Amino acid sequence: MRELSLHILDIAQNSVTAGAKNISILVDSDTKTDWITIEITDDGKGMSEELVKKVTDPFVTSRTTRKVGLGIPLFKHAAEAAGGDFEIRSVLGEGTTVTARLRLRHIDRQPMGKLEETMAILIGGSPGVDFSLQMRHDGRGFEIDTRSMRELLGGVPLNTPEVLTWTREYIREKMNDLYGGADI
Amino acid sequence: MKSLAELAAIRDKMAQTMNLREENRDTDKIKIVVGMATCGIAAGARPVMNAFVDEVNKRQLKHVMVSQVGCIGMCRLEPMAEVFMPDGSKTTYVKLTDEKARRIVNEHIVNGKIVYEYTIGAAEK
Repeated sequence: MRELSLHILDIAQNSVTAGAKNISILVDSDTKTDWITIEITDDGKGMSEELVKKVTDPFVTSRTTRKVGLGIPLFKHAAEAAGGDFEIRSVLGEGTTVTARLRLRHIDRQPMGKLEETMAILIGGSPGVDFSLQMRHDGRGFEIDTRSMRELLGGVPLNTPEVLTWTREYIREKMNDLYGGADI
Repeated sequence: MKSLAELAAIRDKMAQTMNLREENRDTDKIKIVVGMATCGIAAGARPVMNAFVDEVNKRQLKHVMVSQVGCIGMCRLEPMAEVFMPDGSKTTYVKLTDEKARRIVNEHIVNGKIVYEYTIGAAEK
């Protein structure tokens, strides 16, 4: 994986597989503290304590639980390679939260990349799931969620091409505004 | 600046065209399925997926469905996609890129000619 937004896509796909109906993605960065935090929360089926311990180990998980695999170890590695840390909290039957914290200016921190493409694939691929994306940078930010989109769209499905194009352009424009046109 | 209000405009526009649109039965549809597990994503499935969707929409191919699937089991050949025709035949394409995906839509989906050089058969020779 070369972009943080690809990890987000992968982890959020796990949430979809876990039967989540609501998935929220938070990206919070601050140049003063030099941290970028990425948090993916879902209300899927959750994991037992035992499974949570196992999923970050690629050699255990890829053999026993095919549904989890390498995605989590790769994201954890990306966080730790950038001087950060990684945590999974999960309650069986309630949901899972995956949090990665990375040093914003670390030389080995992967760039965010095309998060708008990630969101378009998530929303287009699972139109029955509600997604929210919240991005904050140095105290400013924006939020987009499919719930308010649905309200405005009436019966028009979220995976309608025109809607996905709008979503992609909206997020890109907001990100350009938030990060001054640079990739974060 | 883009705004949420534009979604209401999309809704109004769609309301006019939605009734006119001919709904194909699922069994008559061509299905394109893109591998979107960790292996696929790491190998570049995201632009491939978006290229398929974009090309299908650009050409207004209402009888084509693009969807996602997990790991197909041949991770070294990712990004992969399978094309299912209504007659039940299946073509597996491997090591895809944005451009290859667009060519598959144009040649295979639109013109009915399989792009043999991108198939698993050609890659595994």
